[in-house]
Amino acid sequence: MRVLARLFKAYAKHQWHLYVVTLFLIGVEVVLNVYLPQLSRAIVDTVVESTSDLSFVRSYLFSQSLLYLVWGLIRSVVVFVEIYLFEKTAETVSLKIRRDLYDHVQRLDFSFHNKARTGDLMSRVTSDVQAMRELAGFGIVQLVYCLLMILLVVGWMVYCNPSYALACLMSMPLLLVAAVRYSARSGPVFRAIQDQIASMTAKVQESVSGIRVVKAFAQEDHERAQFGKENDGILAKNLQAAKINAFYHPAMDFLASLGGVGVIWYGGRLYMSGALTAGDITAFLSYLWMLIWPVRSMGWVIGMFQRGIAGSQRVFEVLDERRRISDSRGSTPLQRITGRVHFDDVTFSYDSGEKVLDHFTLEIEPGETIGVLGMTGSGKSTVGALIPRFYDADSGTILVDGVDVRNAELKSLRSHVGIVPQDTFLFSASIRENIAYHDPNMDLERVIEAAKAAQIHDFVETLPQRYETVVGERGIGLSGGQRQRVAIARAIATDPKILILDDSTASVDAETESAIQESLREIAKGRTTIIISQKVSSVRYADRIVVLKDGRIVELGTHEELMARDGFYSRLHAAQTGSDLSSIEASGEGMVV
Amino acid sequence: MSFHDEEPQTRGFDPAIARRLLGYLRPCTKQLVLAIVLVLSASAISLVGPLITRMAVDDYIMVGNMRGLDLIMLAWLLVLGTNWFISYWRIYTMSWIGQRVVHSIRRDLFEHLMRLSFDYYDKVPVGKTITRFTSDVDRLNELLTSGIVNVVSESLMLIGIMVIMMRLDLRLALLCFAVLPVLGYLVTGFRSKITRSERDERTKVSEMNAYLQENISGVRVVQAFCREDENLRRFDKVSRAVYDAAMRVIYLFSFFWPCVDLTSVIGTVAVLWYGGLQVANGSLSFGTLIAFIAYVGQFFGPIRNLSQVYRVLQRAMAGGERIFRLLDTEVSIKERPDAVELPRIKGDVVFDNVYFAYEGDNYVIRGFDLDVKAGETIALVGHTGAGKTSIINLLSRMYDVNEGRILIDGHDVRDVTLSSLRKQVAIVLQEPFLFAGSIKENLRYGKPDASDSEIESVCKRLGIDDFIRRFPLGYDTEVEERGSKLSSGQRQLVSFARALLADPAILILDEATASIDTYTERLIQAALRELLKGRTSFVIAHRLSTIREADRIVVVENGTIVEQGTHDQLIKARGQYYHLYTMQYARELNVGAS
Ligand SMILES: Nc1ncnc2c1ncn2[C@@H]1O[C@H](COP(=O)(O)OP(=O)(O)OP(=O)(O)O)[C@@H](O)[C@H]1O
Ligand SMILES: Nc1ncnc2c1ncn2[C@@H]1O[C@H](COP(=O)(O)OP(=O)(O)OP(=O)(O)O)[C@@H](O)[C@H]1O
Ligand SMILES: [Mg+2]
Ligand SMILES: [Mg+2]
Repeated sequence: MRVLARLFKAYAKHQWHLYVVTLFLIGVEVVLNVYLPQLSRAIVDTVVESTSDLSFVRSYLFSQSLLYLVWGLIRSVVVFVEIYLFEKTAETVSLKIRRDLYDHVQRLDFSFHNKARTGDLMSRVTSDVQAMRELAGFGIVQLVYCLLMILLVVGWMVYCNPSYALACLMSMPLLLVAAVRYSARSGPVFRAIQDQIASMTAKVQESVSGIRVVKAFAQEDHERAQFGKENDGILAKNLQAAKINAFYHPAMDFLASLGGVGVIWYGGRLYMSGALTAGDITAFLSYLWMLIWPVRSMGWVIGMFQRGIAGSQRVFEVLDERRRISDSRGSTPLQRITGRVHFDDVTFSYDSGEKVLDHFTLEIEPGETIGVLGMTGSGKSTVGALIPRFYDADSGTILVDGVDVRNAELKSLRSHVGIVPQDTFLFSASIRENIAYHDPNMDLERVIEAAKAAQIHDFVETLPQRYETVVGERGIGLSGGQRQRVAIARAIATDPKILILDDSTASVDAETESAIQESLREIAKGRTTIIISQKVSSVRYADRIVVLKDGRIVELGTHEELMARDGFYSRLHAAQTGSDLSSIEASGEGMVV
Repeated sequence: MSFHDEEPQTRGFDPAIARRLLGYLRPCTKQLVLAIVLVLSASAISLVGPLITRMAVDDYIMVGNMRGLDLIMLAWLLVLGTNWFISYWRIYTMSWIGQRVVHSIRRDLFEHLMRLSFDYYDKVPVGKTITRFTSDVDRLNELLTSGIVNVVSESLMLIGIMVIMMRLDLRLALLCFAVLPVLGYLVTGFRSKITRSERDERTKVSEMNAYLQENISGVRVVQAFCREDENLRRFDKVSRAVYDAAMRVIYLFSFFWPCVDLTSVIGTVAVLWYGGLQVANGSLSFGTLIAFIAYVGQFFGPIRNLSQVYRVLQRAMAGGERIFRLLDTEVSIKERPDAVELPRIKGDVVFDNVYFAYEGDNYVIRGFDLDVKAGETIALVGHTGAGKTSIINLLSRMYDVNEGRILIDGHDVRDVTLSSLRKQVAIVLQEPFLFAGSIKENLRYGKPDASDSEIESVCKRLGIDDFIRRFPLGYDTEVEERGSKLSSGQRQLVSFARALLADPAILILDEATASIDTYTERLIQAALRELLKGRTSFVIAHRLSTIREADRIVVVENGTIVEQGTHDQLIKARGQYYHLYTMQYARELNVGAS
């Protein structure tokens, strides 16, 4: 119930006038329908009663038929407007929910997305919203129609003959009980079905996304089996729902029909004792027939409501997910910054609890280039993720130009930070759109400039459609290195004050890498640059180099300083170059610089 | 390059789709017959109700037979109870059929997906594929759960009533049927419009899902580049397109439905008017007219229901069309009918003048010739985009060569079964992909029956046991979608161990250590030397220190081999490799020169 209230408050309230009109039209339709028997009866009666005056019969028949036609016309128009309006309301509601849901999801923080499954989220935006749509449209209309019809007819019956009516309607409370039990039992099952659909969607999503791995290991059967389980689950849960439906729908039908039995049985006895006329019985009977259809569809309407409620719960679950990272009340926009970054005693852990950064302190001067090295999992990417505030530190502060990132307006902060994430993600759009991702209106010159700096321009020029070449999802159609360079260009194109390159030349060959570094040195001027890498060669020219180990800084200094020490850096340097020296010298060649 | 799947052409009602759908119903023939029988008996029972009341009133109440009334009322109760019972089975059977069929369609869809080759996946966005499984299938379900059975039972009803009406009074009956052509005209007139807009709506939904799936997957980039507002605008556009398409369908149907209704009113009025005149004339008995009017009501009931079903049918057609189009997508990498199991690979690999293009004649591999002896370690180096990944994709037959051939132990890869080939060739992909699940499940992916101790021993030898154990749950740690809980290097390590566990005869490492630190890499290399003893392996790496010890280094340029030999030979040769090599190390060696 609370869910329903929320659904209507949040999404249907603005539509109240549409609802009012629709409900009014339903009322009109109900009245029209109730009026129909009168119409045909009038015609029949005339025909029977006045066979003598043929011309009168003719003209009366004609006018009555005309009236019937007009009735039909009016009803058609009413029904047309009614259907159109309620469907429109429903579509509008679902449009709004979809929008809110998408917007909320895309703004939820990384911690949420680390755990969420794309397929599950998608199924909420699609199939759950669909269920809500049905509820907000057809469900409501049908409910109102049925209730109105029932109330009207029952009311009329009670008005005509209260005691007789009550006797006939004795099964109504039972009907109510059945309805309540039906909703109670079907609710959880519908919820389980929606959950299962989401789970199936997530499975398909994952198998398709990971199809390269599936094929590489020839594990199609394994995937099939897993999917089969999900698919079977849907079948089983739906059959469970079918059983419940199959029991309760006819049960309600049965209970409603008991009324009919009452009318005849009890009425018959009353008639025999002279307390009732035959006309009363027939009238009551025809009213009861009018009740059959609304009662029958009640079961159906309840099902629709339960599905809608299950969908709403799942949608609201996501909408209620709190954004842990958002602008605080007093947040200040970062206008123009110099690019000073200060990690002040930062301790950070992902939800699993283990400390990833441990009292990490580092001050980065404006315009400085910092190299970050360290073993796999030492926390390098985490350092990069904290600056644009993808996560909040557990303790300690991160200051950009002296402003705590938690007090900076998120958008302004992030627009100062250009990041090349370690996992390259391109969108299925043209190369130009990908590079100009930050600002779709960016002019081509700037795009080309960035592409040149990332050493991807020459390649793009070889493509038939050049910058308008569309790449596939995640950049399919480009080689690993090409993708990575587009990502570098994308970050450069934002013209950031702080540039973070997370292992961004890992898939790039040596020659291209050194060309990229060449241009980066130009670009790094006037920007704070953080280069995260596994290669000594990538950080070699940084102003300072940080070596991370288990989230702590173990070495910090210039290349020369670190080389002078017998630490991680100098050993890494030796490992990556040392032995090579000998082999080159062995080949009888001096060094080419 | 084109990465958008074309939407289907507008065609009218497609009997082929209907036929295929019916094909899915064949295994349920028994249940279908049962359902129809149940539906018919339910309708028959619903006709008994009025009969009993008439009997009760006329034969018992009017004559004052109380005992008879009691009896017939009990009988009625019995009938109602039976109805409950029949309805139970009717509803259940109908759902059962619908769910079964949908279940098999989903299964077939997935089966087919698993067979489809990369050229499909390269083109069709994931979100569109998913739509086939969800809302398109739902549309079919609607039809199957109620539609088909209703069509049959309502049509039978209709025919029965028509016969009765004709026998009652032919003229009146024909007058009433005169509206049928009008209905037919309405249906055909609306059909093409409705078909088009239903299809359009399906297309728009599918596009919206593609948008959603992509932008949710890439949400980290979205946030990093502050694209939320712009993306919301774009989503509004695709979402609005769905709305508009849906509204067009709604408009058509909200028009269609009252039209059908009005037609039925016209039919009724015609009968009333003409029949009334006849009665007044005395050429028709009053009783016949009353009976006829009752039947006119029953005549239009099924027609109205059928026009409801018509909507469901249209929706199902639009959904079915897309589903069958996916099922009909040709699998480009097919096993030959006479494909043989590839016996345990020794490891001789021959690339014989291989040409390959992803599309058209845009060749990325041109005349690639390489002869690899069993047990050799071959390193592939070259500029990005040179075609290294492409060439190894060909080896495990992810794509087929355009010209030339690839032989493993003398077998052309196209002559052997895909699974026997791929199970023996393990690839560590350039971009590691992990499945949501525990680390252990991921490690086991290539060899589902690997024991825990086996897993651990491989991880220990690769030196990655440590990092796994540092997680509180160790090997049972959930890595979440795409392994988002691990660092990139850790993900690479897991996918590395996964490949080794599969115990491949040929191992392919495509930048498998690019994000791994040098120490761990060294550990891995040492382990590999032992693990790979006697196995053929291909190593692609840009970090040249990674591949120095390869038996042979092959330099690829524009899809062909420009140089090959051992590290020392190539250094001596002073060619491309020498150039790359010095380029990479020049600066480090030149300590303090900055
Ligand atoms: N699925 C695809 N469809 C069309 N073209 C593609 C596809 N995949 C790659 N290409 C193109 O084929 C060429 C070779 O790509 P490939 O991935 O083999 O390069 P690579 O040598 O592995 O490069 P890298 O070192 O960057 O990974 C590239 O120019 C790329 O643009
Ligand atoms: N989303 C997450 N949830 C939980 N733990 C995480 C998450 N991301 C990373 N970790 C853990 O935090 C630690 C540091 O990760 P981080 O990505 O910063 O490492 P890294 O130094 O960048 O490693 P690599 O060189 O492999 O990229 C790792 O042990 C990793 O398992
Ligand atoms: Mg990292
Ligand atoms: Mg590659």
